[in-house]
Amino acid sequence: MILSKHIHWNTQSKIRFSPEYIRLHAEQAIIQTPEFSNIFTHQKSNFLNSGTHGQRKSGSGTDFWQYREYREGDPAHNIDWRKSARSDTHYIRDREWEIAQTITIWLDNSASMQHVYNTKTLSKYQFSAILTYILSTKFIYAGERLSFLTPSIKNCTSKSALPDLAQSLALNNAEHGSAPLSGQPKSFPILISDFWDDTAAIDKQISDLTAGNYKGLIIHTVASEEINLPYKGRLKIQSLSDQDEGFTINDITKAKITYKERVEQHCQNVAALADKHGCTYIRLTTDAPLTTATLDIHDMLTLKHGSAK
Amino acid sequence: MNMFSALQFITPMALWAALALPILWFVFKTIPPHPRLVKLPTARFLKDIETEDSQKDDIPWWLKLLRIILMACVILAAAGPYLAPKQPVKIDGDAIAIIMDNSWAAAPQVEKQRTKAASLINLAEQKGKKIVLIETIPEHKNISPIKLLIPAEARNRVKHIQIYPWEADHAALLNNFKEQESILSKAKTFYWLGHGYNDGDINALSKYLKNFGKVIYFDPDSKTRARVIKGALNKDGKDTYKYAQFDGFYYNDQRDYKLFLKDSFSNVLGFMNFDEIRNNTNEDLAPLWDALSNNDDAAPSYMQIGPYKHAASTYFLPAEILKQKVGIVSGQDTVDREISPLIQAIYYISKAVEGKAPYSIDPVDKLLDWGAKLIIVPENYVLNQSDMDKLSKWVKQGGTLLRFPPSQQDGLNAEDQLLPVELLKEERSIAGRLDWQEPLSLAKIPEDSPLAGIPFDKQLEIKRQVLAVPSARDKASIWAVASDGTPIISARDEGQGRIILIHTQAKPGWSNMPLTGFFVNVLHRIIDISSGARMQISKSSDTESMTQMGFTPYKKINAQGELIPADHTQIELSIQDLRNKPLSYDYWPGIYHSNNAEYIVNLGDKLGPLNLINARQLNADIQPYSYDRNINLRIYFIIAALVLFFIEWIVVALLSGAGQRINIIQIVRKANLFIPLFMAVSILSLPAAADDDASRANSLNLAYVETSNPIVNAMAQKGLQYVANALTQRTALLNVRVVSVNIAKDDLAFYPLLYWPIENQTLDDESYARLNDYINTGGMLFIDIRNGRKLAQSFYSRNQPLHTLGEKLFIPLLSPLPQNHVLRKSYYLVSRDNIGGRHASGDIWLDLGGNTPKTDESTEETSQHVASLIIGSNDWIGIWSDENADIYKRENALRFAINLVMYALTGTYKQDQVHTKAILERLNQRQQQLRRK
Repeated sequence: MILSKHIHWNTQSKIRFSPEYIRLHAEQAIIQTPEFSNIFTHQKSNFLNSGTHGQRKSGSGTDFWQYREYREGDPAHNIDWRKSARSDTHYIRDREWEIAQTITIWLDNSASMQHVYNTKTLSKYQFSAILTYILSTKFIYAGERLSFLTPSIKNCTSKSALPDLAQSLALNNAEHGSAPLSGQPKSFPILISDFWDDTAAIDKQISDLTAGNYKGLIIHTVASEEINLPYKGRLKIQSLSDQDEGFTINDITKAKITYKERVEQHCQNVAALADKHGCTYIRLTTDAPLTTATLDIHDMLTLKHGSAK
Repeated sequence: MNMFSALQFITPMALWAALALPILWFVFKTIPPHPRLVKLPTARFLKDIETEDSQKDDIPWWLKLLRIILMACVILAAAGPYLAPKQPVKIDGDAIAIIMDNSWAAAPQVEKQRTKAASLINLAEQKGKKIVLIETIPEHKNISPIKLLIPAEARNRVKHIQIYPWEADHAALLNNFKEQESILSKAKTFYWLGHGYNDGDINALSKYLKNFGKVIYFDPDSKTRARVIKGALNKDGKDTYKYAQFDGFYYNDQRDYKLFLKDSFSNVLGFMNFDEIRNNTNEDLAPLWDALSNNDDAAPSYMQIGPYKHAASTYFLPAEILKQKVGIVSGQDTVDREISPLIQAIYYISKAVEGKAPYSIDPVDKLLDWGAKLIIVPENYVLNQSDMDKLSKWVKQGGTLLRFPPSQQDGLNAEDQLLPVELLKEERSIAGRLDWQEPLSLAKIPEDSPLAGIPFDKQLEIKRQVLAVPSARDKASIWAVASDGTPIISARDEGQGRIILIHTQAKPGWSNMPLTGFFVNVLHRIIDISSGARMQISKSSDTESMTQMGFTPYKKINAQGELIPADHTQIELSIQDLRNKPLSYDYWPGIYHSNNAEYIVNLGDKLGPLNLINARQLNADIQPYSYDRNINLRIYFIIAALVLFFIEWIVVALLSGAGQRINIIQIVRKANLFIPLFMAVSILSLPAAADDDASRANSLNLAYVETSNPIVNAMAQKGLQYVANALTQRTALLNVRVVSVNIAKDDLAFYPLLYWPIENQTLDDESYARLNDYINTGGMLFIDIRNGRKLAQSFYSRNQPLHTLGEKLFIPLLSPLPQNHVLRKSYYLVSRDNIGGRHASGDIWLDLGGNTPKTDESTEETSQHVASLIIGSNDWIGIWSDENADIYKRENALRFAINLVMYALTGTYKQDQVHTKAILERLNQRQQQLRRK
């Protein structure tokens, strides 16, 4: 009997997702997590294998690598005069090429991630964005190089760039998904998404983004509504794509059990895929406190990678 | 009475839609409520999950019921339900009897009686029964009041049953019943359409009818029951109309009853409220008459108690109550008058007239213009020839001229025709210093003179008088005779008027008459008769002569309380008859005239104390008429449906938003199918709005009154259109339209200005009432006589439309358009010659407010009054509509028209001093131009 088109409930989040919001909540979470908060006190962290990584070939670095003969074109100030004085040839002192490890983060900002279920809780993207900021802070303080596979997020290499990161994370909230950049070899990929696509698509996505590194972290962010389906009665279900006509479910309560089974199966599939690509899999629900989520990530990382060093 | 048995429908066909209601139940079942939309990225996991059909729980049963009741209300509203009276299902006997009580008290009930009778006749027709129609007062003495009729005849008869302004003769009716028992016995039920009063012996009639069957008496509600006003004498036993008695007040609703004083056009002149009215006791009417004391022009005709006008609620007053304008002729010797008033005749005359009538002391010309009904010429005033001509003409048209002995100093004017008798050249002096005769006294007043009944005594002394030429005495009638048989007051009819001469002076030199009450009484009586009023016969005392008078009906009062011409004018009734005879076919209430006297028979005076019908004694089933009134229920159903609709709306919004916070916007967004449904039903149910009226109210309308002459109508349309175009071009007015108005039909309230190119046409009273209403409530009526003649001529000549108009239209005091009037400067400066129009010869008159004529053009006009009536004769439409007219003339006419419209719209706005400077400048420039020429 109702004439109007479908009623959109709660389409606008009441949360003002500003850079300040991100930084505030991220820093709170960091401070409340002792394993993270040490970054501010310059204590050594056993989180990941932090620091620089020698490349076992000559290049720019601080450590001595080898002496070699002077070739034309070498800069004169590179000549090691003490070594050269002992012989007739001029020696150039090579240093080992050392670089910091690059951590590539892909934060999915698709419509699915942006979807708001409840005006008062964070969307999956918002939750993930804060998480991203927490991780970025940690990595930057640890001296890692950060690179984002999400095109609209600026790469971040120093502490001073963190505010810019918060800014672009907040701005990104309003934008819809863009195709990710391709993964970098010799990097540690962190993929944050809800991974609701079908398994084949996810497989391809993971393999693209991990770029054969055979390591990484997959953070599977889900909304509690997606898991628990807290609805009653007759529903018209529509996927997020505009073309979708949707379908009607007469009694959602009756469909819950099957749905939950299917969702659980999918999550396991994603976990299996993560394993296949050598990545650690962690599933986070948006209604979980950020502190808990941070701790979970820390535990997973230290378990697999920290001890591996 | 069971309400629902009386429920009926205007369009019962709509009720068939109710058949769809049970279907609606299933529709609610098969069409589940609209699902809530959920957008879910995980939608694909829900695909193809089969759940069993479970919408049964989705709509609660009470919501379904609510919706069905709501639809039922809509269907019922569409069917137009109304409560109609319960009709008896069964009729015993061969006929039904309808008793129409058509005595005086039924006058306010006549419509109810007719409706009731019609419905009873319809019922009888359906059942194939005849009607026994009984009229309590038959058409004529010799016609039986009981008739056996077929329904069609009865229907026709009921329409024509007349209410008579007297009581029914119940004894005679009972006899009729007994005589025509055979007819009565055909009926088993007697429907008595009564008026609520037991006048006569109604119980006996009812008891007799009980022999044949059931009696159902219809009793009107207490508000509409007839109320009675009766005359009352004051403490001295005189009929002064300062008191009245009332009857018929049994409930505490006296506050609803006002006593009105109305003139012959039923205009209310004054009214008073009562806190409490006791039946048949004197009530002081001082507040009613106080209202009149300042209103000289008021012409009270009757008093009316309550809103219903009928014979018993109206009390007609004698014409002597009318205040007649009295003019006293005077030269310009105002100074003399003020220095030594006591030796001036004018002093005594004006003192005698004062309080009785409004008077004016002025030269003849002004008095005639003022409209004096009686003109008194004191002895010291010498009429010149022009005065005489005018007065002579005026007397012939109905004026009354009262003269005192003309001044003899210059010798009696032999040409003086304005005397009742030819006078001897010398006046007669009695009881002078050298005389031994006793002064004359007044001997008698002949009974046939209008002065009859004025008391006098022997102390009245007359020392000098003028004498009539003996041979001429027969021409005049003598109103008062001195002790030696010589006339003291003589009179002669002249045309429609009268010339009266008092043979002695109006100051104390010649007699002591001016110092006596007799002089005052005589003048008062003369004032009374000067308007055609006759001597009032006192209700209490007779004189010998009165018993001899024969009175014939002059006007009669019908049951509706209207004065209509009497039909049996040849019947002569004596004063005893008038006092004692019961009213009947040949003795209606009304006004009866003898030669000089008048006797007003008001119904109230003829009625005894009223008794309400008594249910127990009447021994009948008493029912109110009011069941006859259909109560339209449509609006209640619409309201109920609307309320249910809103409940449904909110409930649905709450249900579908269960578990979520609801805000108003979301509820509003849940718009419902019922909204358009309701709009449709409501629009169907409510009467179509008068969009025409709305558009009339939204634009400025130049309205003209439609006349019977299509050529004039076309001219008016064209002419006013020209004015309308000019108004839009030249002034700030926009959207000016020209409309024609039918006074009888259209609402005049939308038109600030009404142009009336008056033709010889007859309007009904209703139209005049509307016009009066229009003028009195701020409208401006512009009457164009279109003949180019001076207005005064148009008023007085009988064939002119204005003459007939003046009889019915309440025309305020008119004055010629003053030179400085705002109408001459409201937009353009219009000078004396430029009032426009096809004729230049006519003049223009308008009411300037106030009660005295303003003829002096030099006086600065300060009144804020805006004229409500403007009368001119220059045929403005003639030139507005004439494209070939002289440009200069047409422009002038147009300018006048614009001024007129501006005057109608802005009133006296331009009269103030704001624009004076500019206007003066303009005027100066014009004068300089004129000088240069």
